[in-house]
Amino acid sequence: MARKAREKKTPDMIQGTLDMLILKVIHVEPMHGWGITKRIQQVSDGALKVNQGSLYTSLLRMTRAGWVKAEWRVTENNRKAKYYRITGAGVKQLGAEEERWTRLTVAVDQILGMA
Amino acid sequence: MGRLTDLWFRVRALFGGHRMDREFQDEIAFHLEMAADEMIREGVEPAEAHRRARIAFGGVDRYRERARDERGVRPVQDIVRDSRYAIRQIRRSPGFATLAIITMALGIGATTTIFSVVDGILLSPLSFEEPDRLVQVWPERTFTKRMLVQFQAEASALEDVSAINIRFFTFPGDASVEPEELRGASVSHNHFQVLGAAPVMGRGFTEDDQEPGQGQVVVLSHGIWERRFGSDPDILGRNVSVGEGEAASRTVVGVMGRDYRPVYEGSQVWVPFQVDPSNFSDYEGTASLRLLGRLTEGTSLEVADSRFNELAGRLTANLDFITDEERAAAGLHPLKEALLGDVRLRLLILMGSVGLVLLLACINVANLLLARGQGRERELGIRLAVGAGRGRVIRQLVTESLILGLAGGGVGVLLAFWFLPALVGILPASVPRTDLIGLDGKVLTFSFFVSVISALLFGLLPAFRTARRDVQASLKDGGLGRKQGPSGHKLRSGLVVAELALAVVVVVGASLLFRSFWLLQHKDLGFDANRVATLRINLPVDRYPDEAGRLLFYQEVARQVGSLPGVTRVGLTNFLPFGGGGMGIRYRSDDSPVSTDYLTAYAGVRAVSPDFFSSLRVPVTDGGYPDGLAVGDTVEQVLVNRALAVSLWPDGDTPVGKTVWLPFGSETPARIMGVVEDFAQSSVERAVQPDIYIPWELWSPHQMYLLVRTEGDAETLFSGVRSAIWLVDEDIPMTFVRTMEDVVNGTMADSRLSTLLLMVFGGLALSLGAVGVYGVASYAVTQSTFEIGVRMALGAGGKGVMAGVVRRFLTVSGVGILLGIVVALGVSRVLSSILYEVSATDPATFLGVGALLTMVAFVAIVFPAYRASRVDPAQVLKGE
Repeated sequence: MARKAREKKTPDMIQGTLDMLILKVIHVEPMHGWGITKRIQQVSDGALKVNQGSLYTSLLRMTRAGWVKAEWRVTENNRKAKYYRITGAGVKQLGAEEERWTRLTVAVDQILGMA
Repeated sequence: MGRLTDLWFRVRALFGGHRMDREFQDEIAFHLEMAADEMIREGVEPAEAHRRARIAFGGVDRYRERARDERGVRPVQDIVRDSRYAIRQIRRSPGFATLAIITMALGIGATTTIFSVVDGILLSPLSFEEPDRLVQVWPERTFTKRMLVQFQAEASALEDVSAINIRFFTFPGDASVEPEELRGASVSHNHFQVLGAAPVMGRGFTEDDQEPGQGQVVVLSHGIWERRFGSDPDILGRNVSVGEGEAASRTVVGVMGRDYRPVYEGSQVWVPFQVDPSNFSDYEGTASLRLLGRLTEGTSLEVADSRFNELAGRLTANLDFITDEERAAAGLHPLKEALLGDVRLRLLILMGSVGLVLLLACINVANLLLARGQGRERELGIRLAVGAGRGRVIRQLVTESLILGLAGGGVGVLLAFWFLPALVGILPASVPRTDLIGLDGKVLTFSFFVSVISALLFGLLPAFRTARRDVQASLKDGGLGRKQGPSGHKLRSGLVVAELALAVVVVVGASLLFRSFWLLQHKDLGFDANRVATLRINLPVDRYPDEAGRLLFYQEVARQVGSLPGVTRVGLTNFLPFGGGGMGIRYRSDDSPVSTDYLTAYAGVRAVSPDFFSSLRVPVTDGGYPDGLAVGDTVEQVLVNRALAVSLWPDGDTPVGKTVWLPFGSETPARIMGVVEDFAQSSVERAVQPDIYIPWELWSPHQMYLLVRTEGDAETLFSGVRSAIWLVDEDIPMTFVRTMEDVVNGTMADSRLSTLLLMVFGGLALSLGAVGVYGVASYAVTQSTFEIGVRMALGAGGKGVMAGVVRRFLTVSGVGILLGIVVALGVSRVLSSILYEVSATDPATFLGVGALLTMVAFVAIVFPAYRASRVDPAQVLKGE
């Protein structure tokens, strides 16, 4: 019960959208899970909150799909962290996702602009 | 690429699961630390910061589980875990497991055995080119050469038509090899072309070989070329003696390949026959050809069949010996089906019955599982209570069933390794392609899938029912499972109904076949096969070239054998009743009120010695065997059977003294000297056909069967008979040495075997049904012990309780039996064509089976019911 209520608090992000955002972030530079969360929040001015659990399962799924690659590195604070890096397939996927997103938003805009 | 990465990931996850778990732990730990650090920087207490970070993350364990799911190996890991757990559970109740595995092993073992026979004989294709285009033309009939020529010319749906006639060839012995008789065939010149086969050495036959006076040639099998001719590389062009009819010596023109499988098994020698329209008796008469055709490319069997039916109707319209019914049935049959004949139907029936038996086994095991499920309520209740999903529990239970099913299948296949050779060993010689039967990969794959499907069949329903139970209720009442909802009754009643209905269907099938077989065996054949020994003598053509010499030999053999102690009669004939083979002749009579001509009247013809009839105890009721005949007499004198007499003189006039005309060589008038009572000629089932008997003085063929009637045991006679024959000529090959009883039984062998097997399955079905009903009733009584105890405490008598249980289950059983009878009435029709003088819906059989099953069900119910009446109310109530 409690579980369901908690999940309701942040608007559900469409699966593909989260993937796209993650790919976009690590396309700039390899990043660990925490960093990806922060970056998405910062860039969106806190409008987008990333569910931690979803983030890590999404990363795992994309690792499996071969879109990202993970490696253990040391952070500037000298801590060990798992960094995710985009692969060639990931870049291709990102392109496809962006295009799909653009088409979708254009369509939504058109519908909203109807009235 | 993506898919490969995915697969590689899963494989790593499967074997490196623990490392992955650890890495995930580290990664989350890093995340939580970073989150906590941020809060500490904002001034939150470190301990509180860590707590909040964990809460914000939202349940680390949950995401670890989710991460595990995401690795995509969860199902595999679960299966392994479930299987381990299942095996532990199964081992905990060895009695239950043994019973379930044995039940399934019997069902799957029997199914595997029958399927491997079906697979070898029915499913594997014929080894000819494009075998699907090969048909047998009107398999119910044999044909004359004229008909062959007509069909060749006019059957447009057939690319070509060839003819085959099974014959035997005698290869004489010499210093190095024994004389022997080999099976073979005389064929039309296009025989091999139609099959799409060709010799590996030399040639097949050509149209020239078929011209009268041409082509005394022969094609040999690879086996005989190796064995008799030492693989002689110069065999082609060599003259060999095949001792068949007048063409004793033939030129070898071809040798077939080692793996050539002839149309009729065991054939080793092929010779072309001549087609000569000017030789009336040969062209119109004696040949009994079977026709094989190849469908024209692209013509469907249905189209070809209907076109042929029309053609056959037209070409045979004036032939009286073909009935309108037969004519309507004229058609083309796929060659494989035609070659298998009855065997195909019998195998399919066996396969169907064994499938029903397997289904029964599944129901029994399902019932066992249900009972066990109730015993496990507490265990499963706890699992559900601590949060295992219902789906998860169902999967666990189904895994247990799968393991039971596969174990049963494994043991079943082992049983099949033992059943199958035994079964193949007793297959009648008439069943073709037995060498293709084996427990090969295909059969084992079949058994695997049958095991899995059976496991799902018997496992799914109990699994759903068991997992559906109310957790709290089952935990509250301590897992005693005392309460049994109404749906439990319904399900159990359903199982009883299904079991008995299935059992009825199988037992009805078995009983119908048994009745039919019993009638077949007890049918009056018109002759007495007891105490008669038979064998066939083959006179080498070169040593006995003329009729007179052969007659002298046969007469001397009859005299010598007749003087053996215990021998009462010695008869000879060239075609033994039930011995296979035969010859036909056309006839007509001017003395008959019925108008006849050669085209319409057709009779079997046999050469006989005077004592042939008495050796088989066949009465000659009118006239008798002619006296004073001498070899070479021109006036033919014959005997006829009652069937012929009746067809020519339906008013009952005596045929003795009348004349029939026979195209025997040239047209000959033959005086009827005697009438022989009808006896079964080729099988019990076939109606007696007109027969003409020619005295041996007028016709002494090279091959004759000897029938020796004795006062003692026919089996002990053979060595004496052999020596007696060798006294006359010590170089005579003898074949088909059997008692007459064996000859007759041989024709019923496949009927006997399928009856036997179906009875075995019927017995299995009956015992499975009985065990099932007993199980259900017994379990129901155990379940309601408390209720019964209470009722008895309130004054119910033991007798009343017992009667109540019996009544309830007998009613349910009655429904099952009735349902089974209704179903059986619907499906028993498939048996019709192999049933002899028994209707597929024979009321006596159905009533008998119904009564038998009712009795069995009653016995299965009485014991648990008795137990119910012995419940001690004091103990039951104290037990609370």
